[in-house]
Amino acid sequence: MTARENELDIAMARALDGDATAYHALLRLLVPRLRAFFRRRVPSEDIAEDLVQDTLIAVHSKRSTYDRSRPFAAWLYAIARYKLADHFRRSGYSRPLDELDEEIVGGDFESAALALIDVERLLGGLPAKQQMAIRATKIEGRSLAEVARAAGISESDAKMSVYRGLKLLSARVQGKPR
Amino acid sequence: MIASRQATDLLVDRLAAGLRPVPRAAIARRLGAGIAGGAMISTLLLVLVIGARPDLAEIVHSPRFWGKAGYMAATAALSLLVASRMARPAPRQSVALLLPVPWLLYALAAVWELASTPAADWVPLLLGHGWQLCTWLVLLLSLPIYAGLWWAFRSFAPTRMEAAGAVTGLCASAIAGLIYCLHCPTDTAVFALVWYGLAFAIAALVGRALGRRLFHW
Repeated sequence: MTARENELDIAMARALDGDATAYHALLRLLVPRLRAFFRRRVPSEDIAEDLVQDTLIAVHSKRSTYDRSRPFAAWLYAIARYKLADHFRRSGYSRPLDELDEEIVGGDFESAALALIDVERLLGGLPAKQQMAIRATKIEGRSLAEVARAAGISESDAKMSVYRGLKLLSARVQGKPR
Repeated sequence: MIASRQATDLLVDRLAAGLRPVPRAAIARRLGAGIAGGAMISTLLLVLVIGARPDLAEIVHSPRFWGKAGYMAATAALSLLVASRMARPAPRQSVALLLPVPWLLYALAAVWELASTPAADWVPLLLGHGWQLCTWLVLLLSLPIYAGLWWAFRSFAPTRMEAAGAVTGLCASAIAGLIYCLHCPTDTAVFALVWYGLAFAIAALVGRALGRRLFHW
């Protein structure tokens, strides 16, 4: 159990007890995660953003179904997955839902979700530019050219940032001091 | 794109501003309220329209009556437990496999009943008084309870909607069966196993078929 995962669980428990500040902070943390989740799975950014909003509304209106004794991330991504499946169903997407489920669950969805949170925690300690470059290319799946243009840097600079950042991350994962 | 991102931020602000605390055991409370409301209507329906059995005062001393009621109560309790898990997205390990256990235990009682009765008298054991109505009255009485469960599930987030529909159907019919015990004049295990069991099966199947439509959120 990582520290970050625990933080989410605690924030949600506070929110259920009526702590609006903790709840606000929690929702803000969720937005980039949900964005990354949906962008990888739907073709359009606008649809992804709609799904982010749908999921946030569901998190709010269904918050009584969160079990305080279980990881928040598993609950959150189960809702996100449901909203995604619902979107595909409504848009007449032909792929069978079971297959979709499998793709997203990928054996153990919960650990994948927690891994994502670990990644976020590790990324948090990197210099801003490297953090942005890795997030954009490796998590959100955008191209180097696109990222470089958006950040106003050269493509090779973006590439270098990704490279340096990943090197630093791998050093950290191997247990070197932060 | 920027506009919709701003809309997301605005949404976050608004949701946080509208936060109200959620009581612990919110799911149990809501299920309890839905079932209580439905069961009250079903009980009124039974007492006022169908009528309680006249020998109710004596029958409460009969183990057969309690065996039948226990079979209903156990099915209701187990299916309610499963339903309460279905209320959450990504439910934890389900206990759904236990659902047939009351029926199977009661089947042992039915076998014992058949074994201790001459084969010539088996037919009355099965048909009792009013087998034609039993299943349908149980299903009728299950409707208000099913409505109560549906109301409760509107605030839940089931992700396996067909399963949720089936188990709420089973739960509603088992509670309806328990209420119908106040009327049903036949207490033989063979009778209850078959005709109440048929009601459970129909309720579960109809619930399953309606699940996706009724439990969608």
